Amino acid sequence: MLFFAFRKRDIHAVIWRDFRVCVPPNGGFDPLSHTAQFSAHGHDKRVAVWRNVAAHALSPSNHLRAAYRSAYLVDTAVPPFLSVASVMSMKTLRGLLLLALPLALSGCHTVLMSPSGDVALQQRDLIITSFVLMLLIVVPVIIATLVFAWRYRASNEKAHYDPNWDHSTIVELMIWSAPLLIIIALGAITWVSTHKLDPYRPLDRIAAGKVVPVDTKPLEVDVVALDWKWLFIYPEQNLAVVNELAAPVDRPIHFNLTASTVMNSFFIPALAGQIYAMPGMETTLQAVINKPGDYWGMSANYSGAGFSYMNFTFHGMSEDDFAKWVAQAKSHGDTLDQATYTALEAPSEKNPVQYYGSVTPGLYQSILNRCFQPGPSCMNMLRVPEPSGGGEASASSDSQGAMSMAHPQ
Amino acid sequence: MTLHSPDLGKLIFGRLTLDDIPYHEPILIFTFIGVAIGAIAVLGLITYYRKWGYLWSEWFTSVDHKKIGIMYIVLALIMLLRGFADALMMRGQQAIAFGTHEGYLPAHHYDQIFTAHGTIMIFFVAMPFITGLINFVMPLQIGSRDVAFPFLNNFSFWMTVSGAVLVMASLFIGVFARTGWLAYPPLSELPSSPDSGVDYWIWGLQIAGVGTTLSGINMIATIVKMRAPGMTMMRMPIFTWTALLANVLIVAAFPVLTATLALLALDRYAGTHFFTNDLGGNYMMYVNLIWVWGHPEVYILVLPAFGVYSEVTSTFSRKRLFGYASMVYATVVIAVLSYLVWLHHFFTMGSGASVNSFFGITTMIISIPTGAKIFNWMFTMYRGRIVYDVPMLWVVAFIVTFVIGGMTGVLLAVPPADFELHNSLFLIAHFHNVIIGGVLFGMFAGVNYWFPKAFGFRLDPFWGKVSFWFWVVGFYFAFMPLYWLGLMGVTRRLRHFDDPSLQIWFEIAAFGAVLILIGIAAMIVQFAVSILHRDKLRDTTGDPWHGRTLEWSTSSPPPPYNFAFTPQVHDIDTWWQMKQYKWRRPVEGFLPIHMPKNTGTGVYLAVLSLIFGFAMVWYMWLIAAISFVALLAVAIHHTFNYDRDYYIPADEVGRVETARAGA
Repeated sequence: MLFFAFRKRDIHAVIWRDFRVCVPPNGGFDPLSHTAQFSAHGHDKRVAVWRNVAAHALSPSNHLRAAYRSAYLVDTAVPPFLSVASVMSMKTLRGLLLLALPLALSGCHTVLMSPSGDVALQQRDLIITSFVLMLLIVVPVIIATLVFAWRYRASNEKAHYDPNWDHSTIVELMIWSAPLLIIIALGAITWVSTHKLDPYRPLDRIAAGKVVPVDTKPLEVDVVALDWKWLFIYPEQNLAVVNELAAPVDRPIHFNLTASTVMNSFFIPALAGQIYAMPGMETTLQAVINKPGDYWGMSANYSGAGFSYMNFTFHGMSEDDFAKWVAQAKSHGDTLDQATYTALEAPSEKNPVQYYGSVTPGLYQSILNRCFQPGPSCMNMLRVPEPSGGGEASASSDSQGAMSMAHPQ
Repeated sequence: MTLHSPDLGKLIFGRLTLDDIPYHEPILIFTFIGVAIGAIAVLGLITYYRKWGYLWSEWFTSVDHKKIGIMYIVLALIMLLRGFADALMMRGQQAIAFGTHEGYLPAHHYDQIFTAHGTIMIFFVAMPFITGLINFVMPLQIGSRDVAFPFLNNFSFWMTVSGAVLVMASLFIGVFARTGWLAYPPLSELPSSPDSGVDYWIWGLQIAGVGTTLSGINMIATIVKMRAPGMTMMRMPIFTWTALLANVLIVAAFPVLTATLALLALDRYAGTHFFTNDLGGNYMMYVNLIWVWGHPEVYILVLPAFGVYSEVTSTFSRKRLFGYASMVYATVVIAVLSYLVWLHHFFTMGSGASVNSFFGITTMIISIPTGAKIFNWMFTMYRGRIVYDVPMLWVVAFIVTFVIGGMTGVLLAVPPADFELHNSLFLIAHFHNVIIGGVLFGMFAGVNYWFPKAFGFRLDPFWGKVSFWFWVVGFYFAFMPLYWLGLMGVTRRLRHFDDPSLQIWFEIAAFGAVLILIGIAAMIVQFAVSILHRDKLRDTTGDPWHGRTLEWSTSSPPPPYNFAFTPQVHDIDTWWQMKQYKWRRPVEGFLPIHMPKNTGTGVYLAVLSLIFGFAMVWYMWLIAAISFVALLAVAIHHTFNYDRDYYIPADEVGRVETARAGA
């Protein structure tokens, strides 16, 4: 079975590549990492990594050392009467930490762990950081549970039995403060990263160490989730495409998203995290793709019978290839106007890629404001009383009447 | 609407036609035949052995909290089979539907299955399980003769059954919702879901919700008002504490669900626009409201399970619970915080970064008291003498499993990480990790632990262990691959995949589901074997595990009045202390005991509610109106029932007590 195949010569390379991809020393992007989204040989390498935890001990990286040190700190904080835990676990703990790390990191072969866009990459780093931070407490807990469970079994007459021991201030203090410390660290990371990786916030970097050049304008893409396909409108290029998306590498992309009938979620795992696409509502996603390639996009929120086929391909392209792609797409003479849109909007499954060489101006705004729906009129024609304050779901009566997801920053 | 039409058929049958019977779907036909044969066999046996009268007078109409608790758990186990059958079908579909192969379930069927699976497992498995355990155990633990409102308890149970029956009816009459278990609008609104599915969901949950809310009030009243003398709040057993807080959460959260469902029903029935796309509707409000209920719901389920672990750990470690006060405060903190985290279920709906990080951080804070509880169980085992009977095995499996689930939960609480993991199979793995590893393991521990109290004989330990190992190993096989698939970017509720490299993981998950199936089968065998060997497994002491709390001080099964004399409480582990002081069961000086009388009103009301719900689903306005009026009439009539109590004479109490003390 492929899964259990074991190729020795790969081991070292795999381990090092994994570390370099997943825990880049400077948080930067490793050009050596592969672009393949579905690595066919992934399984055996993962096993190789997993089985050779010992190799890590021989090839210490700064991160491992840091992990050791923190584990050691946690461990020595244990009061003496916990001798069982500390004595038994000094070695085991290290072993287990070593075991757990590669397990986590071997996820490198999955798209979430080896993404190709800077936003997804930072999200990946955040996942790994949080995970390792929590392992600091989770691993000792699991070990100590199993050790206590074994040591204090009834048949072990040698173990100390103290049926009335039910309180210890120092232990109580420790069991509340240990998780508290982890959560303080994680909470700080959360506050900062949530603001930094807010999908509404314009990008300030293309990749680690590469700021967005001042004259760069993001590529505008208006996204409409239909039953059950994706419509992408490029206002600058005056182009619309069904079920295919392309963008030049290293240029920020600014997505505006809405939907025709029900909630969907726009998700290209290699590019950036998802955001809901909702009828009569506009959400925003800022992202950038760093490597050319074909990536897989989808709806991540169940939306009805054709949901499973709401997939599309996202092409990361060089500037030249993107220009060619636009030119070729525009060579299709069809125009996306109200009539063609209304026909397109009707529920359908497994739609092929379809290009519209031009788009009626303002079409996206009309979709967003639900002008094509049976009903009194466009939402922006209605006088909607505006509630004060920002945040989710604030109805705005500006030029777009649809509820833009106003943002409090 | 039909009132305009003179058509009598429409007036009676509403929109129900013969086409709504799914006789063209072979899977459902075979299911129906199977269920029908099973039902006929069961009904036949009951009739043959002339047990109808016994069932009616001793069980269905019983207001005894112990019998109601047992019936709740029977309901949970039956519905577990249905919910698990759905799970097997999903695993089967996902294991084979790759590339050109569409699998064996069309979207129309598959989408009903995952909706039903979630709905049934939460509302009709997990909820009856915890309500059942609380019902059975809590009054015994606090030294009470029954709950505060015994009839209300019976009524609550039958309303839950009624909701379950309505959801089950959708299998064979019409369809169930194809919306996911929380039925987010606009998908659940009329334009996208015009058929009976969402209506079954709404009325099934509304009817069961009445039972849950009333039961919550009942339990709170019981715990607050009916504790034995000496049992201060800080001397309550931990399970009772968790029961109290879970029921506080129920009473505070379920009305939100009821109101939300009512608004959705108004949208669907009366043409209002609370959650529609147009005319001022805002479906995001629904998403907020449903999670304002939904998140506390998670803690409603898990807190009583935590209580079970506390009782079991301390009993089987032969040691006082470590950090009792710490446990209590942790539980209270969790209960309060559970109201401040609902938005973490939809970070991706577009809230601002400050809102998202607020809810992310409050979510993480919950892990602090939860972590403290885990440590408390650990330190309860520390310096104990741990006996590995089946309940204790579940505790160890729980701690290891739950810690993993908790960790992935905190990971999901980091909003930018959630943008990648939301709605993915990683999320699915996470919540099964905590609901199976946390809630269900606890319920199984509880069933094995309190079964001898309920029936007077222990459950067979061999089959209990077989079931345990298959469940635990099966769980890891079924859900660890889903974490992995989540990292591969695979999202939930898909019935078909293009990428063949995913298939191996789905096959492993399906294998895990088969192991769990064996675990469930072993559990059924365990019940059967235990009943067959009940004389060998008999416990005559009433205290087979060397328990610590009051429920073990009475005989097993306890007499209808639980305690001939109300116990005096001086310690948290009252019964342990009573044993230290060589307490002897009194054999004289009995007094007559005042008891509530059984009544069939609960059953009548539930049947009428079922008819009302079914009529509403199918727009049978005439029947709906009649059954609603009848419902009110029966309820009012019951208030005039003054024949509701009786006394057990002192000499009969004496006879029962002497027999049990001598046994």
